[in-house]
Amino acid sequence: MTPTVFVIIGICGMIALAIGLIYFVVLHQRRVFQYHLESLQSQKEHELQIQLIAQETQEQTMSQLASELHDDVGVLLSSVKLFLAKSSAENPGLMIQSQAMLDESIQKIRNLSHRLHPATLQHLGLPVALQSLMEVVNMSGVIKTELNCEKWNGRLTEQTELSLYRIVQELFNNLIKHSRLSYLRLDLEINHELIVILISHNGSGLTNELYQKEIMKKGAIGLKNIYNRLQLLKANIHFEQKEEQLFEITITAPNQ
Amino acid sequence: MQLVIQYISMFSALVPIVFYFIYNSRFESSRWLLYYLLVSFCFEVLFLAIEKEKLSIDHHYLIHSFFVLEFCLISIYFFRQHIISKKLQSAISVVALLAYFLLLSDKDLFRFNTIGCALFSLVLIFYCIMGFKQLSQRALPIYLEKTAFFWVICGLLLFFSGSFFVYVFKAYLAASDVTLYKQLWHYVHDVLIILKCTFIAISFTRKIEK
Repeated sequence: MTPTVFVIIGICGMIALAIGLIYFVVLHQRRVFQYHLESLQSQKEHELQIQLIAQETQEQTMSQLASELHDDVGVLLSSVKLFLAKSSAENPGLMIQSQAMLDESIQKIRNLSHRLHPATLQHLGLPVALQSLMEVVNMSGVIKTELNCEKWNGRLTEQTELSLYRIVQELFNNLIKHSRLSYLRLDLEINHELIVILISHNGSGLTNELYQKEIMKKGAIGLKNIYNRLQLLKANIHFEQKEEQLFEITITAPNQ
Repeated sequence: MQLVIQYISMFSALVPIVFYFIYNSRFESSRWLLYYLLVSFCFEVLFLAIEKEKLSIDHHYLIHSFFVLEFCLISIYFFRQHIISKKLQSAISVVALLAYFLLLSDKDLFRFNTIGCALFSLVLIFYCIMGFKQLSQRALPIYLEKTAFFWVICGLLLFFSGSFFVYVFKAYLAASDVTLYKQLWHYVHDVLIILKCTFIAISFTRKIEK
């Protein structure tokens, strides 16, 4: 082998080695990156699974508590009311006062029981449960409500309906507390692919940036609950100011 | 063709220099690459002027100065990147510089220091490999193509790996086979310079250092 050939082979060999090294490092790093992404994904899925179990347990507990309150304590209080009515002859004034207090207690327990586990949702579905929720808001006389569910038909899974109901319930709570609104409209739409819930109101509202900031902060438990439930549903939420006095919150979830 | 490659390689250093200012490269260590590119461009212009104008200046002084400056600036760049312990890197760099000067005095000032240049190339190849090692051992993995350091070490590794044998056999080829020597110099060395400058220019467009 002449020195010239040796030089050419040497140059080619060195360049090939350099390219090989670069290729190896890039390939190795890509594999590491892929592995890292997969482990992150699996960790996220695991966290979601835990959240799902936690929420199911919470809902189960609330359901049990609601049925205890409604079926047991409620019945007991009603019985006491009957007994009091029978012995009202002895002290009519005190009896009337006791009966009023008992009525109030029974009503409060019924409301609490309904809030903990909305039976309408379980038996009649999401639009009816949300209608009932809006009627409660409407009863205050301060907020005018409107529901449009013409584009909604059929039922979703129990878990999806409950999650969507809780999300809307939490959003309503926040709006009533912070938005100083006088008009609230709810539009429900469902098709083969998507579930869309649109909340429009004329109060003051959040923007997407503010929402992202709030869920990163300490506190804001309500918004974090909404975020977690959305994650479980693989759903998105979008806050937007359409006009000066018109804010919209859009929840979009896949129809699985 | 050789002349075209020679001119392209000479002006290729201007591309990363322009990119440095256009993309407003924010990394402190990039400054040393900019100095290196400026030095390369100035020396290339000087070499060409001496060759074309047939100036009566012995360009070997310039070649020695260029290689020493090139080695020092790239070493400082790697020093700033903390690829190995600072003490070890300082020791390696000082030993390589001393060896270059010792080989220079041993031979002749007016000849190309083949072994010295090859030694510099080997040391810089070692730094590049250590750079790759550091990149691949990141705690948080990232696509390497998004980092500036990756493109710099790719360019330098390709350039010094390809140039290593050219430097080692430069004196031999220049004496025995001038045509092959010129072909190798222009088709390998100059093309590698263009590649190196392109990669460094890409590195200036990156937003993540490493």
